[in-house]
Amino acid sequence: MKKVIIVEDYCIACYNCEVACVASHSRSEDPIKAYKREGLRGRTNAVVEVASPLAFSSMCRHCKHPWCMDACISGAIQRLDNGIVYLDEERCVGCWGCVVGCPYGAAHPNLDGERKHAFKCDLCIKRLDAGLNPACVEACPNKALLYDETIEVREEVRT
Amino acid sequence: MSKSDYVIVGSNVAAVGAIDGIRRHDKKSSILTISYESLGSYSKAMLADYIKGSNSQWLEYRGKDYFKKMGVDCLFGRRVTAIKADKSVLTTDNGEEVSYKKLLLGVGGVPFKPAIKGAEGKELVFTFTDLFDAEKIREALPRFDSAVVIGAGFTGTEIAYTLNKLNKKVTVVELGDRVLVKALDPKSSEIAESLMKGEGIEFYLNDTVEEIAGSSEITGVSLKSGKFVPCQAVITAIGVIPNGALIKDTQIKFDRGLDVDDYMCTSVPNVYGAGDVVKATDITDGQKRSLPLWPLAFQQGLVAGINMAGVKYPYAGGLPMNSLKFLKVPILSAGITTPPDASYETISVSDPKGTFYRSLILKEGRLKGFVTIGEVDGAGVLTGLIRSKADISGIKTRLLNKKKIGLMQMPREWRNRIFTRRDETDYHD
Ligand SMILES: Cc1cc2nc3c(=O)[nH]c(=O)nc-3n(C[C@H](O)[C@H](O)[C@H](O)COP(=O)(O)OP(=O)(O)OC[C@H]3O[C@@H](n4cnc5c(N)ncnc54)[C@H](O)[C@@H]3O)c2cc1C
Ligand code: SF4
Ligand code: SF4
Repeated sequence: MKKVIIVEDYCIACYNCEVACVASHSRSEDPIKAYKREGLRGRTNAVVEVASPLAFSSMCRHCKHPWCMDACISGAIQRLDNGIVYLDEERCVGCWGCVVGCPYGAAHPNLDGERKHAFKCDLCIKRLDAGLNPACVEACPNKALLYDETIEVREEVRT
Repeated sequence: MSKSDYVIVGSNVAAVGAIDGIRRHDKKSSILTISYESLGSYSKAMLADYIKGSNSQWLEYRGKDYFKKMGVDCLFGRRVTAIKADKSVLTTDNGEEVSYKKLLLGVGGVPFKPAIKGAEGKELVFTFTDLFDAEKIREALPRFDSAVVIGAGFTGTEIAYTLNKLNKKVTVVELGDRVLVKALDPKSSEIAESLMKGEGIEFYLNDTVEEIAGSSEITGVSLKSGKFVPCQAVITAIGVIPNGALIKDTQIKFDRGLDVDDYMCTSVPNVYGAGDVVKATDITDGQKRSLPLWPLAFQQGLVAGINMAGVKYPYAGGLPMNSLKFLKVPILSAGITTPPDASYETISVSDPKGTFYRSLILKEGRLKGFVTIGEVDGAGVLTGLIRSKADISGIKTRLLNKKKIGLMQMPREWRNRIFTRRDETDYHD
């Protein structure tokens, strides 16, 4: 399956992926409104980690065997037929099972707000359906994020 | 007599895991799941929500159409009363017989009930392990204003917190010297206790309930220490033990838990077990014990299902993972949280306000467990480090320094493999 491939050598910590992620998961689809009015600050599924000069943006790996799903007590997390590991925020009860279960730290707790719930990357499922790339990939000016088959699959093709 | 290729007793998370596992490799054979509960698969871990008033559909773990979608026949509201393992036949409570080729026992646990004087014949004495219990407590809510909860483990503290939120006066009595002893270390226990005290819950530690006083109506409980706590209801929540009721009179080996091998198979070749009923391998020390935890029940079910479908696939062992889901300050832990002997190294950090705490338990440079309070984002990275058994001596202090844990702290090679290549979480079945 195609995933977001992270090329840490190319990341320049510009945070464009975070902004694009928040905007595309907001109601307004407008970054300023999303941050300022919809309270989506700190609600980005792609997170840029920086320890200068090293930087990279990391997000859910859509594992074939998702540990987050095993841990999910509400059934909010399910692996869809297309391989996307989807977290239904409405179903989520904020037990943080996925947070302690995900080995990549890609399921995040939303502790503020009216309702506690977890959130994670959905690979921009709506954009994919429309034939677009995930928003973070599209926004990266440096090709530090690619939407492609994993190297594993690419190697299998070669051999 | 009805027949099914696979029969699953139980329909909760272990059963769902097994159905997922079977259907990965066998799309055709018939599967039948039997449960005495009417809801099919539901989340016991969400029972507190039900007591607080949510409707029962909210507890459904997989959508209504899950069983149908997976091509599974359901017999809900029916209890299995006997197993004839030599004939591969089950009997249900209406006297019908069901034969199977492969059987999975996902019958869960039953509440451990200590013998307490005066418990018999009183209406407002409850346990808290299934929907029937939750229903009884919910219906009784208007009839009591104060309750004593016996046990300060996960379910005990959860029901205490829930009742407290419903404006009941709650006192927790715990035999041990601290709360949540299985999941937390002494310092984090103290933090959890003070957070709950801050909400108005009272605790009596190093103590136990000797007698429930009153005739049909409870007047209070007398404790071993001699104290008397007035109350109108009592909830025992000391934990669950593997449900052996069905297995006792069979040749299937059961000794304080269903014995299963690495393939989740019991001592009888075509009978498998998963979830709270089994004794499973604990990854942290390789010992077999009852580990009644949601994620492990799912994984064991999955592995059992894969094996039942004929693909040999070993269970890697379970890693205890806990999250205290009801408090405002999140508390997460995994693996060994209290070092059993001096060969373990503990490093920790906390802030004076007591709202941030993290402790890591290591042995020979490898992470064995952790507790983290307050800052929990990225905590799963630590869980991953326990599973991978990687030497982290070089990075251990970094895992304490940063408030948010991230992949940044990991060795580059390890990280890049995840970013670009192998999906290491995969069950390669
Ligand atoms: C209040 C509460 C809160 C919890 N919170 C958490 C949490 O936050 N995190 C966590 O990891 N774990 C939690 N747990 C534990 C978790 O719910 C269990 O580990 C999990 O439910 C085990 O799943 P299981 O499928 O093995 O068994 P169960 O969920 O116990 O299901 C047993 C099934 O067997 C059926 N059954 C039993 N006997 C028969 C019979 N004779 N005939 C027919 N059917 C039968 C039952 O109807 C049921 O379908 C909690 C448990 C409780 C009670
Ligand atoms: S949240 Fe974590 S465990 Fe779940 S699919 Fe994504 S990377 Fe895998
Ligand atoms: S926090 Fe939500 S999504 Fe995560 S495991 Fe709990 S219920 Fe599932």
